[in-house]
Amino acid sequence: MTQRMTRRCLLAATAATLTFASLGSLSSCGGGDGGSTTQTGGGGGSGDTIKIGSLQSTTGDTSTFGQSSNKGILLAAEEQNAQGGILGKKIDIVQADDQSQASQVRQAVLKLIEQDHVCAILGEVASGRTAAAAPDCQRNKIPLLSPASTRNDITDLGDYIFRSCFTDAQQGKWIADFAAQNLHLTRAAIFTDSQNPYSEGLSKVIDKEFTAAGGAIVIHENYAGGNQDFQSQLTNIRAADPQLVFLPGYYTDIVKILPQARKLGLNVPFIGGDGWDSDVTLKQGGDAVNGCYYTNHYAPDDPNPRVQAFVKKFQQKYDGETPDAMAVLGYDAANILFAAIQRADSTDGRDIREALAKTTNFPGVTGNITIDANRNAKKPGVVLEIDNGKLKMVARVGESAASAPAH
Amino acid sequence: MTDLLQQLLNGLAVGSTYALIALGYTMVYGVLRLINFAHGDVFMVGAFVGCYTTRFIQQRLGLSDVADQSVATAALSMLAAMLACGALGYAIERLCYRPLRKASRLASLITAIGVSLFLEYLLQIEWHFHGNRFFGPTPTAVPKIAIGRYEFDQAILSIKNATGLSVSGNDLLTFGATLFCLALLFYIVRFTRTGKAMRAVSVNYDAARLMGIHIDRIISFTFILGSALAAVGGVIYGFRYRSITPLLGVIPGLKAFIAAVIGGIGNIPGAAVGGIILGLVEAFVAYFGWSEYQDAAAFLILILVLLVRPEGIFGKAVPEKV
Amino acid sequence: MTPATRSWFHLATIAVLIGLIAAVSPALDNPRLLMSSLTHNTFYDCCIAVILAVSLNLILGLTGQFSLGHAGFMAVGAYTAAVITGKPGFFLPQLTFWHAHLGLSVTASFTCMAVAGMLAAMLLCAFLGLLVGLPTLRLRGDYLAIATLGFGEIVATVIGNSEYLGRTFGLRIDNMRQLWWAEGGKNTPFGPDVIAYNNNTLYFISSFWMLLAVLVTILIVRNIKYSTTGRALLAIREDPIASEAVGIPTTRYKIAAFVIGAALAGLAGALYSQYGDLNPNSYRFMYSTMIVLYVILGGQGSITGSALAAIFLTVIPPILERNTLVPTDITERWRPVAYALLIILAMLFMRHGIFGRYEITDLFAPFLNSRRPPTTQDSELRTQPSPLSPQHATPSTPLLSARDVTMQFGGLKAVDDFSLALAPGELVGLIGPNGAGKTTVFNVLTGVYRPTAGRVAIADHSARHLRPHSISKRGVARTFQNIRLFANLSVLDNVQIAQHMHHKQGIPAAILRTPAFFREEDKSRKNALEYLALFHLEHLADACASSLSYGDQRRLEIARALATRPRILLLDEPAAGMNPTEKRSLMDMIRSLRQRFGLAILLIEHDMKVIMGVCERIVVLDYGKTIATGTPDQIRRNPAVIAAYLGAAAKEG
Repeated sequence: MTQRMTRRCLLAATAATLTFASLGSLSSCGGGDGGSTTQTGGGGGSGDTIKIGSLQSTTGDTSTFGQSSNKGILLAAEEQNAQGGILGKKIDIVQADDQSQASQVRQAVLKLIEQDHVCAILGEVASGRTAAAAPDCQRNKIPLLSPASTRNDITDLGDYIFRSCFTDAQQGKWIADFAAQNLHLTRAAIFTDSQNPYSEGLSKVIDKEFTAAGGAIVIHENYAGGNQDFQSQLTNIRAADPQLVFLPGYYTDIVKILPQARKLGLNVPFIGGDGWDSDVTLKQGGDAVNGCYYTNHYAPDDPNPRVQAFVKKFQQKYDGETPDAMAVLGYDAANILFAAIQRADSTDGRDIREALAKTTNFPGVTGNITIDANRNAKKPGVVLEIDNGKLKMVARVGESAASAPAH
Repeated sequence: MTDLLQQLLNGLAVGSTYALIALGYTMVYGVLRLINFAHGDVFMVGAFVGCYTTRFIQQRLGLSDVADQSVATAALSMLAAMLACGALGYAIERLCYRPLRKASRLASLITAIGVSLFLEYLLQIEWHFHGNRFFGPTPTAVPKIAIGRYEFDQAILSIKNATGLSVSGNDLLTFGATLFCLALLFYIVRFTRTGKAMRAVSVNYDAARLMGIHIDRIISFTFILGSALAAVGGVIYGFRYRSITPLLGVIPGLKAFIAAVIGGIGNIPGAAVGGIILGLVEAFVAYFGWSEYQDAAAFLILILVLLVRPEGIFGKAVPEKV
Repeated sequence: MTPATRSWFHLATIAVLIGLIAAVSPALDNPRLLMSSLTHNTFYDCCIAVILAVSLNLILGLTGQFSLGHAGFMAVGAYTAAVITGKPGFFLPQLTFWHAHLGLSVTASFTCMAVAGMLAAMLLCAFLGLLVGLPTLRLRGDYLAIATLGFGEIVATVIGNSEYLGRTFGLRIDNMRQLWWAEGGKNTPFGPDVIAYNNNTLYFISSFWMLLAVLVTILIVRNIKYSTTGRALLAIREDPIASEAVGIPTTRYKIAAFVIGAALAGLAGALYSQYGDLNPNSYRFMYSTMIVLYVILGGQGSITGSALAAIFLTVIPPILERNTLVPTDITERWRPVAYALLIILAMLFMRHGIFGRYEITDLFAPFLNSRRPPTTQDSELRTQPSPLSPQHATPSTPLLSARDVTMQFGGLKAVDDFSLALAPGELVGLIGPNGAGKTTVFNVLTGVYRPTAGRVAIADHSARHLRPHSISKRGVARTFQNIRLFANLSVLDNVQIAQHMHHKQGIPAAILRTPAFFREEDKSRKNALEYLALFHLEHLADACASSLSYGDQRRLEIARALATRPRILLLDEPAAGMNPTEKRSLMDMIRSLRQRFGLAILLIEHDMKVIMGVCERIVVLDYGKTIATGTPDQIRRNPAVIAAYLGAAAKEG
């Protein structure tokens, strides 16, 4: 019986502790900011700083995306603050991490809006997480400017949702046109990561545009990102005997797919999009990735003085690290937003939104950027070739869409 | 025709890897009636130990991290991985499973899941040491093996036209290692005293103890042997795909379990055959253009086997002792 | 209190709770009063976690079945509800119905849709639970773990490959409506209404529905736990073989628990879809393990425990993040490691979790009489015949017969050509040296093993393909050589569980707490106490079965077997480990049991005094073969028996 009594006591004690602990913590959650919420338009201008949120995946699967993007944004803010900030106030970048999980985005966005009272948010890189952030920004009238979400319908999610990068529709067309017109190839295979909406969306555009440009897709194969063995599919592709393979996937799979393709004797060029952009592609791809192409937002070896100036500043701040595409996109997005706040002469979300929508020919590192009526960016891109383990810019694309960057 | 043959070869290669892991699964299950969920992660640890041993040797030899490794280096790294994983297997059994041997099966099963997650997430934390990155979620590159100018991941007879049959050195290494391990294991279990004791423990735990068999020692040995085999699989996996992450053991581990069930869990040749069958099925699923459902197909097969013949192809339906 | 009043009381309690929820929820939903949206979000997360934890507790905690696919069921539920409330093809017709036809407001119409989504989600999940459970739950527990794990992965893969469900891009209902608006919805008559609702509504589902779902979940699981069904589930967790032996159809119950658990997980998903972002990768293995952790930490079988653990683990991370006590990159990296460690440590050092099987209400149990045995003054009870009155077996053909039964394990014939006919009221001994196959005979007779050859019949009906619980239902009860009590349950529970097949009130009655349910509970408790009294165990009714002395455990096992109201009782070495005095009283008891209940008894025993003292007929087995049958005197004189067996025993005796 004593055993039962001790059990009861233990039970009672733990129940009490747990209940109080959780109740206490819940109310401490609510206590700090209860009552002061959902005012529209944001109040990021209170005090002598302007608070801007940066919603990024600094931990988790795609932590490199978020970290690079943040580096670019912080560099932009530092420069701006050195020039006296905007509207006479210093810029305060408030970072929020969503751990690379869409399910954590809402928590992070609400924290930025309700607890930190930011006036605008930069982010996310991944399209799925930008979409997850959109409704709360839209509802609270806080502009959301994504530096790198290329999925087509992201900006349809509300009139407070912007992007400063090109879309998959643009990129797909560039890839298809480059293959058909610059490489003069006509028989192509498409190899799609069927679970990755980016890859799936891009594949559709490439399919359409390549056929329109006179090419033929001889086989369409799928893979699941994260798998290790792709030889079955590559054998099927080999059997169709294409002249090139469109591979619009992520670099993590690229470095596994290409060596296996070469082993099977599939020695044709592979062409992809900005998902290839990572130093991992070069380091781990080795010989297998030589002779492949991909479209990207910028090329670090671009002789354009704007690019070179940025690369130099970035390297000074971050121990000689070469900025990747995410870093430069973050930098451009931040500067576009700063300029918009300056023009709006206000930190109210609605005013910033109006000003952002009127962005024309903004001189970004990645080219001149114009925000169109659908809140998408019109801007150029580049095609890179992997040549003996090095990246080489082989073409500049989409310049007709925006005015050419000054040389 | 060549393509069909090529698919068969692909399936065989992948299936051999499953078989290699399945051997360890089935052995532990045979002796302890425990699904050692952590087995796939021991496999992963093996891949990492192999990779870092290679790098260490390369550094000592004054070579670059990612320079091609010689066969001797590869053999050394495999040995190191086997030792390390054997120790890891022993530790897992000693610390996590042994205290629960008298508790319910559910308790050990839940613990096994815990151990598996622990290894996966512990190794996802990046460490920096002397400017080198260790572990972490970003893929780690494994140097390839080369003899002279021939690299193991290339086709053995270089292919000029795109219709030839391609077999790489790594493919041969995988087949060879699986066959060798299978034979070795079969020999140990069938023809040695320890093997006899293992079989005795698997038939009747208490009776085996009464016969003077040192149960703890036999179970430890089983874990060490199974983990060392997983290490062999892991290191070869590293050679084959040359890019390893802390989560690489999850899917192969599950597939290996399915392979073990197909062959009849507890049955050693069954595990090998199950692995090959599963590899071939996956290759054909891909051949018919359903590659995105490869994993789903494996689990469907599992459910089908459980429905139609839960004891597996080679297993016998043994009623539980009351 | 009469059963009817208790039933009303139960209903009234629920009504009060719902009223309370209705009163509180507007305050909860007002962001200016209690909680900001951020806190509100965490609050909803807690509710979801509680539903998941409590529903998994039904499967993992109460029934002891390891499901690793709970998140998969949640995903199915979430996507179902998201499609119903978010896809224009689904919400437009409903809007036409609710809004245009019935005249409800847009907000009310969408709430109706959300509720419809919840119901659809629960139905679909129940169906899928059945599909996964049917093949796997009849097998050993490990297979369920793998199959459910596989189920979770298949769900994630299928969603990940479906364009309609947004692949790994994810799905969110407000975005779906927004896209519809952008793609032409703005020109439809409902367009402006829908978009205004979408952009101006903070919470698509109010706290009322959220808390109601939590209440319903807790109520369902709690009411099942304290019922015939709940005891059966606990019995299955303790010992599936003994459960079958006392007539519990274990597979059916496991499936029932699994299906209900799956449906509730679907409900959680449906609720989540109304405010969260759906992504197939969120519902993989790790999420399921999280839910398992709630149950393990809180206590397998404790609703209070798992709910509190769920709340605790849901609230802690956001607090750490929001107050930036620790940098997020550190907490984020170490959190899963800490969870994994917690699982291991909990299993090693605190296997029953913080709460064991206990509930917060058990604290007040000493003060409440409702769970005490009812007094016998209850008129209704007195009029019912006591099960302890003798039963008149139809004096026809043999009750139990085995003909030419052979049981082969691999190369070993454990039982070879065994035949036996047991007439009503007969007391037969089954003896033989160790390993002669006596217990195997029992296992064949009770359906644990299916004989390799030969036939077993109970009252002339073949029992060859019957599962043990069906055999038990036909009047065959047994005890086990190595006692198989439900060790962690109370003595009273052990006996009550054995009356299982005489109970008529199933899961619906248990959930609804009908008067008939209470009546049956009272009766079952009263009967159980009577059985205990018969064995002088009634003072131990509340004790844990494993805490009993060895002799008491043996007696309890016989009491449990009797409580199934058998016509045939198979006793497997009941005298093992008893001292001479106990053995004598056991012999008296066996005789009186036969007398009082008109039982036929088959007895395995090593003690020759017991066997010779009580049996009328003895069957001798050696190496699986029957070497002799006859009266005790005949057996004593049989040279074959003496050679094989008695010679050794005579020396001992």
